[in-house]
Formats: sequence, C-alpha cells, structure tokens
Amino acid sequence: MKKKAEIGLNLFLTVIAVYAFVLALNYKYMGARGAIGPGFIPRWVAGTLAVANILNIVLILFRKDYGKEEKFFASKENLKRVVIFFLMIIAYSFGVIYIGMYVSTAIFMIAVYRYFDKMSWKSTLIPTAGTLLFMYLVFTRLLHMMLPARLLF
Amino acid sequence: MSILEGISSGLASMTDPIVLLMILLGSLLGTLIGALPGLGPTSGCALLLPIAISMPDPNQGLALLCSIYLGCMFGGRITAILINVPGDAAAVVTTFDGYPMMKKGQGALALGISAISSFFGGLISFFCLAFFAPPLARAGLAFGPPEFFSVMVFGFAAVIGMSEGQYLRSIITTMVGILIGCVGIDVISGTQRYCFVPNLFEGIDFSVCALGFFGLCETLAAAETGKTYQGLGDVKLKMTWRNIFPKKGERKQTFFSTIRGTIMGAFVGFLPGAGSTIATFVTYSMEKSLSKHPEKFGTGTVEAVAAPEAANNASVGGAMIPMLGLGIPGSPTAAIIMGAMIMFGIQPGPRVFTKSGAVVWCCIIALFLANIALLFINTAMIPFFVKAIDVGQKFIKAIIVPTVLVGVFAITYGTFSIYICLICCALGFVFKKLGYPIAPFLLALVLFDTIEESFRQSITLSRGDYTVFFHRPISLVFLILAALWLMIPVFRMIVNKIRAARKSGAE
Repeated sequence: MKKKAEIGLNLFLTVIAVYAFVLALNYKYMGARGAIGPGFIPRWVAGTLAVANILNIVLILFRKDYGKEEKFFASKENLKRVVIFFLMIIAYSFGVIYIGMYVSTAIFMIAVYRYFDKMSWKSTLIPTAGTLLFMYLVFTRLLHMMLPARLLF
Repeated sequence: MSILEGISSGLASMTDPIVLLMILLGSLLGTLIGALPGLGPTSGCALLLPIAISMPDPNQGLALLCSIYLGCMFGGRITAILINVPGDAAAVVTTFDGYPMMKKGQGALALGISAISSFFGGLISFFCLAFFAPPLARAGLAFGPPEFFSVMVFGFAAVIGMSEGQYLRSIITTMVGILIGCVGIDVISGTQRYCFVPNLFEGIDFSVCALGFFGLCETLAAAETGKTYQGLGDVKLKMTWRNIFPKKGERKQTFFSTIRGTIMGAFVGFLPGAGSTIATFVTYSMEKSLSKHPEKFGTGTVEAVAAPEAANNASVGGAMIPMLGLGIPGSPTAAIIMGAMIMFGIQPGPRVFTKSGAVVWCCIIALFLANIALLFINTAMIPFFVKAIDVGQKFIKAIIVPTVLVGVFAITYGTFSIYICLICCALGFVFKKLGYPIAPFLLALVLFDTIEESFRQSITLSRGDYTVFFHRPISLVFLILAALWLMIPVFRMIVNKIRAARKSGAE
C-alpha cells in the first residue's frame, strides 16, 4: 500500500515537473552579456525533479520487499477520519472567505467537537466561546487586524 | 561618546519608569505575538509601530519596539515546541526536535533549554552590538553576491550531506521547494514565472507553507489517531521545576551548541537581508553535521533545540549591527525599527553613535534588559504552558485550525494564501506519511530567493564568468566548507568500515 502511494506521489511530481519544464521553455534561458535568464533555474530544477522521481520509481519497483507490509493508513476508519477532517478544514476555509472569520470559526469548532469528536455540549461550547473571545481580544481589539468579515463580523 | 560613556548614558535613560514599563510591556506583547502562528517580529513591530511613534520620548518608543522584536524571538518557539505549530518562520527549525521532545514528555525541558539558549544567544550578540558594531558592520559589507551564494550553498550542503540514506528523497523535496520558490515575478528581469493568477505575482510565502506543513498537517495527523493531539496522549507531561532546567549532562551537551549557534546567528544576522530564519536553518544543519549522533536529530535531542534557539536570538543583535553602524537593516524587523528611528529624527549610519548616542545606547541597554526580563517571564510561564497543553489536549486540534488560518491571513492580508496553505497541508501529510524529509524542502524554499538573486548577480557582475565564486577568498572558503560537509557521510562510512574491519580482524 505504501509502495503504491509512493509511486503515486512520484508520478504526480513527475507530471508537475514535466509541466513546469515545458512552461520554463517560455522563459529566457540566458540574458545579455552572459547574464543568466529567468528560465535557467526553473529548467534545471524541473528537469532534475522529473529525473529524481523517475529514478525513485525505478528503485522502488526493483526492491520487491519495499513497503510490502506497511500501510499508508492503519485502517479504513483512519482514512475516513482524515478525509472528513480535511473536508471540514476546506469547508471552514471557504466559510472564512465567504461567511466571515468569526461565524465560520464558531460553526467549525462546534462541528469538530460535537460531531467529529462526539463531545458533550459543555465541552463543545466552552472552548469555542473561549477561542472566539481570545481571537476578538487579541486580533481585533489589541492588534487592530482586519479579519475577513462577511456576516455579523 | 566612548563605550563606557554610552553604557552609563543608556543606564541613565533606564531611570525613566516609562522606559522600563515599555520594556516589560514589549517583552510580554512580543512573547504573545511571537507565539501566535503567522505573526512574527516584523508584523508585531509593524502592528505596534503607530503606538511606538506616538510616544513623546524616542527612548520609550524604541525601547518598546526593541523589546517586541526580542520578545517575538522568544515567543515563536513556545507553540513550536508545545503543539508543533511554529509561531514564526524562524521557529520552524525548533519544531524538528522541540516537538519530539514534547512527545517524549520533555516539553518543559525543551522550553527551558530554548529559553536559556535564547538568553545566552541574545546576551552575547548584544555584547557584540555594544562593543563592535562599527567594525563588524564594515566587515559585513565585504559580503557581495558571490559570498552570499557560497554561504547559502554551504547551508544546502550541510542539510543534504546529512540526509542519512535519504539522498534521493532529499533531492526530490529540495527540488519541490525550489520549484515553489520560483513562483512569482522574477525580481531581476520582471518575467512572470508560473504566475497562473495575479495573487501569485509576489510568490508563495515561506511562512504560509510552513503553517500548512506543520500546523494544519499536524491536525490531520491528530484527526487520524483519535481525540488527543498526535502522540501527546501517550505520555505523561512531567512538570516540576527540576524538569525545566537542564541537568549536568544536558548542560554539557548544549553548552558548545549554544556557543556555535550564537556565533552563527550573530554572523548571519549581520549580513544584510539574511535574517533569523536563514540563521536557524544554517545553524541546525551545522549542528547536525558536527554531532556525533546525527541520526538522533529529529527525534528530540537537546542540542538541536539549543543551537537554533541561540542563533535565533543572536540574530537580533546581529541584525542591529549593520542597521546602526551603516544604516542598512539586517532584517525586515530591523528595517521597521530603523523607520521608527528616522521618524524620531535619528539617522542610523556611521555617525549615529556620535550624533544620537544617547538614544542608540538606550536601545542597546533596553535589549539587554528585555533579554533578562524575557528569560524570567518565559521560564516562569513554562509550568502554565505545559499544564494548559496537558489539560486541553483534546481541544487543541480544533483551536489550531482557526489560529493557523488567522495567521495565514495575517501574512498576506489576502484569502488566496489560505488555498496555498491547504495544498501545503495535503502535500505535507503525504510527505510525512511516506517519510520524506521536510527540512530540505523548507530550507530550499527559504533560501531560494537569496541564492538565485546572488547567483545571477554574481554571474552578471562577472559578465558570465562562472569561476567568480572561486576568485574571492571568502566565497572560496565557504565553497570548500560546503564540499567538505558533503564529504562527511563518505568519511564516516569509510571510518566505520575500517573500524568494523579491525573489530572482525581482532575477533
């Protein structure tokens, strides 16, 4: 499983590197009077990245015992938890941008404590209120930071 | 004004209770700001600059800014050690071994060591600032683009050379870091490189990536393992006063690391534009290379916490040297303090010690006093920090996410960086799961701008002559050191083989 995951990562990085190399061909390689152009480093770096990833894939494939026993996630439950939590972070990030920092923070924290970690309402609301109060006092009042605001704040 | 006269003048300015109050307030605020992800000394000083310059006496305003600067350096490490979320970019290195120490139940010791090392680093660099500012500032000018390039190559060589059997993976993560560093408008030619949207014109901020790789990524790991924060639920966090201070063996282990970190930190600090982040990374690499047990780095070793922390604070004094001596700020934060000085009518430069000696010496003494105050404040607060983490383990995960996102927002004051942080979080999680080293990636990202700029400037100045790096003595020395650093694993392997052969021969 881990072997497949690493090969997948290397393939993904190879595609990125090839794309970056192709784009770098549009940037000047050398400038006037021997100066180095903006395309010099991207070409070399993208090329090296692609070669290193392909080399790593070859090495992994040649080592038959490589990562055979190891799993990327210990269980399906772990995978599910990671995916759900990451989706919650993504939803929260969009919430910060489109709803505002304070409202989306309250929703996110309640969702995590109450529905992800299955905590009691008391254990949910106290840290949520505390975090919001801290954010308001430190970021808004003390440091006068303009946090993303849409609804309410 | 002689040095003794300057010191007495600086001490005399401390008789003003408002100045002393500003030092204390700046230290406390700095610690708080430093501990908040995304807010470092630069944003801390910038946010509180209006308050500082509104003060009637320049001594009061500058004492506040200097204390905030130093306080942030102390504060950045707190969350780095406790929850693996670096308070600022310079504290990223502290997470490498500080957090593993926390997971082993040695969080209090890690915080204690970092406070003490930070104190010594600061103390020695302020001593250099007080006694050798003008000559050191002139020495800093000897560093042109080729020298800068060689120093950065040395930093890279130290990290890659000590990757312990993960060379290919290190190369991959380094290249990914450099490729991300390429994003943005090229400062020399103005070409847009990989700028798919206008938000990428300014490039990708290192701190945004670091917060994604550490802060958010750590919450994913916590979500996977269960309710408690990753690993912390398995250990009892030992909290007695005895645990805060290093024992005899640990003092011995950290003494020379602290000295080396201080020297490197002050040295990198006084190079204009280098800054504390580079200082900590280079120090960590150097310390790993010099260690008898480099394989233990990353698992929670005291030297790996002490050296970068000393370097971090030593870079404050270092950054002030070219700012005061030449009027060239050594770091962005020093540039803000310089701006405040100019607003107060003080012109930093070679004549600042004679023309505005009283204010300059007030700043230096304020840094000394803030350093002492911060040692006491930070040591006294360790039990509170550790207890808070111990009690609130199950709540941390959900608190970190908003704190990190506020920090990410604060870095660029734009919501686009939040997307970058999410991508870095996912990439960091995969890297972590597959055991890819993250240090080379971050080092590449942080050094890339300087290394590319100095490399291209060197080649342009020499009209395409690539041997320019070997013609200048300082540059040559660093390149030789870099080559030797890369050879260390080879030497070690040969020595180990000879030893093994001798042992088997004797048996």
